[in-house]
Amino acid sequence: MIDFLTITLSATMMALLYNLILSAAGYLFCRIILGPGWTNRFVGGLSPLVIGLALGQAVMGSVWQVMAVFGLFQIGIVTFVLGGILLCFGIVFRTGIKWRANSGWLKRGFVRVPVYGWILLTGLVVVITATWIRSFGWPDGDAMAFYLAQPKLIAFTGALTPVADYESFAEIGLFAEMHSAVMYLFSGEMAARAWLWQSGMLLVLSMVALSVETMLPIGASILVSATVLTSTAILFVMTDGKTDHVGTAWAIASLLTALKIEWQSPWRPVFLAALLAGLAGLAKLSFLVGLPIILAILTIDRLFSTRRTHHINPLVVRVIAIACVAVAGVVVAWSSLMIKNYIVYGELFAPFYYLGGGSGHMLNQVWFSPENTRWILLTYPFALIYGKYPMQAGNLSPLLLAFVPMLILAWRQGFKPGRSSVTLAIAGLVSVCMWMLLRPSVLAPRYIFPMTLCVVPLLAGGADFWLSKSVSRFAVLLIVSAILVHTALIGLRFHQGWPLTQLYATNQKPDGLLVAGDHLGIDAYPGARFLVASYYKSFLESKVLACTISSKEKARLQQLNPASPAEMWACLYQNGVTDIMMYRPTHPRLLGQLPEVDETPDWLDVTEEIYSPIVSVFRIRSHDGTAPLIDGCDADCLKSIRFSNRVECVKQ
Amino acid sequence: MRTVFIVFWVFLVLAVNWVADVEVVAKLAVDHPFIEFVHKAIWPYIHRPYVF
Repeated sequence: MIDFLTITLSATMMALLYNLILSAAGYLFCRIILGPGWTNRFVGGLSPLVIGLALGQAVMGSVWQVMAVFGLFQIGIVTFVLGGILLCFGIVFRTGIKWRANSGWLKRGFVRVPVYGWILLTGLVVVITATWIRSFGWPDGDAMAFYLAQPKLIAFTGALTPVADYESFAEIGLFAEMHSAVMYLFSGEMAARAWLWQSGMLLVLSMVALSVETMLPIGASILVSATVLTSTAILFVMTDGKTDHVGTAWAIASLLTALKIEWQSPWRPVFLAALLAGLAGLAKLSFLVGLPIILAILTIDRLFSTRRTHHINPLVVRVIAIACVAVAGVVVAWSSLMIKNYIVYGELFAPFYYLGGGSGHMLNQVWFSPENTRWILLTYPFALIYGKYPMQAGNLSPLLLAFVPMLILAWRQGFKPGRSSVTLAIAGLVSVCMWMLLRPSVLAPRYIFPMTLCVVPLLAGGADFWLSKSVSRFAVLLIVSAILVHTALIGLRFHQGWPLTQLYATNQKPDGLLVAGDHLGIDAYPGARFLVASYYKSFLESKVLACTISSKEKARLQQLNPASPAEMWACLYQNGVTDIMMYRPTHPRLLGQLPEVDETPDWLDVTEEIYSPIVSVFRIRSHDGTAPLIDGCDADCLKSIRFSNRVECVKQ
Repeated sequence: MRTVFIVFWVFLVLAVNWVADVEVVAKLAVDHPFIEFVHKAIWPYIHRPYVF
């Protein structure tokens, strides 16, 4: 327990320190884009903090990505950049920071917290604590396959080296993953996980800021937090090592900025909103379907509500001019991805359009048959809240449904929501409908987080109004108790994994897969290559990860078509493959292709080490101890060279 | 009457989540015929597991 706390608390402090530097960077960028006194545009003091951190994360993610492309992602250079940010921040704000004019907002806000709000906050603390603990546990699925493995490899090589088997998938924007890479660079996986959890907290705070900026009372902010923190889809990604929630926080920050667009001087907020939305959309490509719609509706509504003219022509001209500024913001956001994909893949517009032919395979997803897709569409929104489909990875909070009749009754009792909360909700619903039309068979709340979260402030506002005005305190007590039970159940669900979490965080290898990964490469020849027959790779040693054979090399090996089992082993060895890890649940076919371990040529020995009924490591060694003749992989060499030279380093 | 409806509704949407979510049920080790019945009655209408 002491070990666990030492590791996790130090990782949390490391991530917090890094986030503070990113906030400083974001504050500087905001000052440049929005001008001096930018914090005064917002109602609450929370919004500048949220936007500052979100912008700092998004822009610095781009900067790290470009640095990695040119092989400059080295600890010395990254430290220099972070130090430079702090220095610039100190110089610009040497006379102190005026947080905002209305600094008493937080104090007054706490005074106005309703009783039921305080009770709910206790439940939320349980969920926050449980998710914090779980975030140091064993990652599942996608995170172990790519979202943690890729940053680990980038941190090790100092360059944008794609993880084996995911070479084409690495075409996506790695804006959030680069921050995990920074954490790997300075500390390790635990710090990366802590940073990802803190980004989940940023999402919660950005939703609170959104409810404040839409002029909802503090009780509504607590209900908004409760809705976010009871959405298992959000909790799963923020504790699992995935990054969907990071882009979501940036998207919400862009909406916060868009709410400040005014007829008189819209340019700066439009540019910042487009920049943030562009980076959020490139961090999670599916957001590109809904975010532009939401921002367009919000912007037009803001122009209408603050316009100085009733003539249509000036309005049209202004909308066109604003669209041009927004495009400029998106192009700036996109530039980092274009640089990366042009240099690494030779494709300027990947993953959207391929100049060399091919299609945007990542964007054209079909998950289910027509019959099941029809069923999913008919069960919206219940499918998002109760559904449990493959790859869905969690649900939205059932509180969304619970608040609907409260909102309707609150409306009849005189609830007057702010114009912006209604606009947000309408924009969110329209964008979800658009998603249903364009990607009907892709059912996963994590693909449409910003769109679904847009309806939360209005629903929470109505629920808060009804709970505050309710004639029956007993009814309020019952409802709050039910929500508390729900938060306790969620806390319990995350607590269930505690023994495994403790073992994983303290590096005690609770599973055969992890033990096998640890033993892969032991006693291997210098320059050995590794054949990893597993989707999951984040637990592998960095050197092993760097020297794993790529999918192209794997395909070439499969085409060699040896005449006998002995020749098969010899063929693998002569191509530099001396260690093979096989995870049977995902790669059972490889077992059919691999000969028995005793069917080897006279000069080779093959041994199979079984770490669990489903995990084996095969070691191929020559009798006389000589290494394969070809030049192999030099992991140490990979650390000091640029990506473009990597091919020279890994010869076949 | 409206208040009763709201309380009923909140409990309903949350209870469906508690009962129908097989993970919560399994992890709480609830093994009761009524829960089993509700689980089987509700779940197929919302949840089509592992079908492509």
